[in-house]
Formats: sequence, structure tokens, C-alpha cells
Amino acid sequence: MSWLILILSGSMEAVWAASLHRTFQASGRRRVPPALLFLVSVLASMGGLAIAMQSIPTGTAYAVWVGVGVVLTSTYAILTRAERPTTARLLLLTGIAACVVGLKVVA
Amino acid sequence: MTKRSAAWLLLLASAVLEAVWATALGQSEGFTQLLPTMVFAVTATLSMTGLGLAIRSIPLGTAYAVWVGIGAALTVGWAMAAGVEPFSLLKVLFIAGIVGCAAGLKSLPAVATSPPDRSDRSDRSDTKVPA
Repeated sequence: MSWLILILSGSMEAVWAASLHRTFQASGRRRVPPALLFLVSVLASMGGLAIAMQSIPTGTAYAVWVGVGVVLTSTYAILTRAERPTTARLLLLTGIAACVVGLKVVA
Repeated sequence: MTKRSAAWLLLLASAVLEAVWATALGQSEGFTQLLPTMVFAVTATLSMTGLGLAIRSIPLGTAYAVWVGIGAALTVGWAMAAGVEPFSLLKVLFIAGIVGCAAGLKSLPAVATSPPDRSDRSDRSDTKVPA
């Protein structure tokens, strides 16, 4: 159950990053829906992480959460054509995700 | 300074603030300590506003990964420098890896936010070669 919550809150990272993106692209009243989605998802993401950390070790929980967030955010950006998936970009994104996971697992 | 360099500086500043709020969140002990809770609220708001402004000119996946990566590297680096966490060569290597990958992403050519227009290619000689 904690693992399910952890993976769902990692996915919420991608949701808030995407809605933050929409919020800053839109103007006027059209900013309101993505801004609300951003607030809800950012709170759900951090709340879920805090709940999962009660039964999964902090370093492991954070590493999985960040890993899921980076992978899903990049996938969203590539699917919506906001970002071009060149080999160099994919390798460097994977590199950052791997280093953050490593950093939190050895801690 | 170009618009893109300014966006990268803003992104780095937001990542620094992310390390500040992550540390303050840890010290707030479930929002029961007043000062760390206030520091958390202010820096978290500024950090996410900065990220939001930066992704208007930096691709979303890249900006998010750099923001998270630099934030995590600083949080751990800070804890090691302050003696809260024990020093470890592996951690230093991972931090160097994050910084290296972030610098690599910045060096990549700027990418248009929309897919290339077909009309851009109409003047290419290989598209309309007479038989």
C-alpha cells in the first residue's frame, strides 16, 4: 500500500510540473484551471511522499519518488512535443535521475 | 545577457531555494516549529514561481530534472559540509554527476517549443526533385 501511494505521489510530480507549465503559458482567466490543478497535485505529491516515508526508509522513498517524477515529466514533455528527444538529451536526463537515485540510496 | 541565459540563472536560483525549503521542511518537525515553517512557505513559493518562469524558455523535462537534481545535490552537499551526514566519496561522485549532466543539458542547442513547420522544408532541394 505504501508503495502504491509512493508511486502515485511520484506521478503527481509530473502532473504539477505539467500544470505549472500550462499556468505560465496561459494568460488571464485561463490561468485559473491549471493553477488549481498545480496546487492540488503539488500538495498530493508531498503529502503522499510524507505518508509513504512512514513505512519506507526516507532515502529509498525519495529516490523512487524523484525517479518516477523525472521519467514521467520528460515523457509528457516529449509526447506533447515541448521537448525533442535527442540521444544526448535522453542520456543526460537519465544521468541526472540515476545520480539523484544513487545519492539518496547511499545516504 | 540573452533571455535563455537569464532563464538558466533563474532555474539555478530556484534549485538553491529548493534545497533551502527541503532543509527547512526537515527542521519544521511536521510544521510545529514556527521559524522553519515560515522559511519553508516563503522559499517553496519562490522556488516554484522561479521554475514556472524558467520553463517558458527551457524545455519542461530538462528544467524539472535540473531543478530536482541541483536541489538534491545541494541538500546532501550542505548536510555533509555541516557534518549532519557523514562524508562519502560516492556521494561526491553522484553530486558531480548531477552537475555534469545539468551543464551538458544547458550546452544542448535550444529547441523550438513547437514541432518544425513543414513549410520550413519546402525549399530543400531533396524534397521536390523532378523525375
